[in-house]
Amino acid sequence: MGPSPEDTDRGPRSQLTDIGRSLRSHVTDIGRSLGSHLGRIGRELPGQLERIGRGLLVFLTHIGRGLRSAGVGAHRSVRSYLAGIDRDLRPYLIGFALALILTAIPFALVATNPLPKLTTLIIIGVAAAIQVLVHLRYFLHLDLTSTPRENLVAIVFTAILIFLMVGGSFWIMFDLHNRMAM
Amino acid sequence: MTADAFVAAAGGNGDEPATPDVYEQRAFGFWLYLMSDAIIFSLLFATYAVMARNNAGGPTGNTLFSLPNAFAETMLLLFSSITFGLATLAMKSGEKERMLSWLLVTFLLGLGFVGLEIREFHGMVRAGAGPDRSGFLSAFFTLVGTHGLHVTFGLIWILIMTSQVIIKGLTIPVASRFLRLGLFWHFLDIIWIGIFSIVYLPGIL
Repeated sequence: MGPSPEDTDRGPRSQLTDIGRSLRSHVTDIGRSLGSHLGRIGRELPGQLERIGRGLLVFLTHIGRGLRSAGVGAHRSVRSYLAGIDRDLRPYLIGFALALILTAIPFALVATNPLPKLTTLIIIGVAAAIQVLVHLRYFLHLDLTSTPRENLVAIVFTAILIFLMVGGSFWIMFDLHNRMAM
Repeated sequence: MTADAFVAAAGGNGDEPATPDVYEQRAFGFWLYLMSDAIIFSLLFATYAVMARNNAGGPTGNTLFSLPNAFAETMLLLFSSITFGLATLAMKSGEKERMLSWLLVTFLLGLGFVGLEIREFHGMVRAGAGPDRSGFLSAFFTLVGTHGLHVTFGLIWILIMTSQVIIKGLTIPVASRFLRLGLFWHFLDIIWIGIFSIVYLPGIL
């Protein structure tokens, strides 16, 4: 009699149980570490959110106070506040505050509609263009001196391509539109 | 160059320590990807601008778009941008737990954004204003849907990064991937500025 099927199967099968056992222990390990991480995150979150909220509030009141008193004094108060916070955090907070303002203006104009339509559209466009620059500068840290040169070349090349393709499409399509309407 | 040689040149399977040069090159490559993505989006914007008035007698943006909804989506993305920045700062100072907590907040904000967008799309399609209704709506769903898909992939990437940080720790390759995810995430917020300024606000006005 040759080896029974069970004998030949035992090799692969025991390997499979080995794999299963190690998989299970890995999964429980990961689960346990995830659980402890999530617990810690949950514990730390409210405090951090509160800290950031308080920082933003102080920052915004400083800006508000600065705007009210106007002039050099205002500038100095924002400056001195900014000098007090973490150097790396500063660009994010500045960018965030500017983005909030540049978002609030167009949305408020559309919600209350106090201006002629064309004026509102122009303000929306200008606010959007400035906000794109704010994001590039403060969130993507694009900088004319420290960003690698080839990245800047790539972005300028892209801008030219976009200008040609979008501008060309508009030229053709709106010209066609006008001719059809004639 | 064979595939193996290419992998070797790019620093093995991505987990072996490579020279800083390699990571800089990867950042540049990712930058090129973002620029090509910017071209895709700008052409979708151009298509939308051309099609915006072709509503084929169907509903217009004025009746379909909701200002509070667009504002909520904008705020969710903007806040997710700064929370991602805070995660980046935490990573740079080596605080893993703080980084993960901000990453979690970013994920939830992004998830909220995608949720609002799906609800909006669902409501529009149910009201008979699906992408097949008019040229305007085809262009709208293509543009906004492409952005939404990008955000969805960003969310998946955040989950992957979270598990890599937990399992592998803050190694150089993980940090490099995380910084590229940051580029992607901030880039998507920039595209959204275009969407609310070109699609929602003029549509509602």
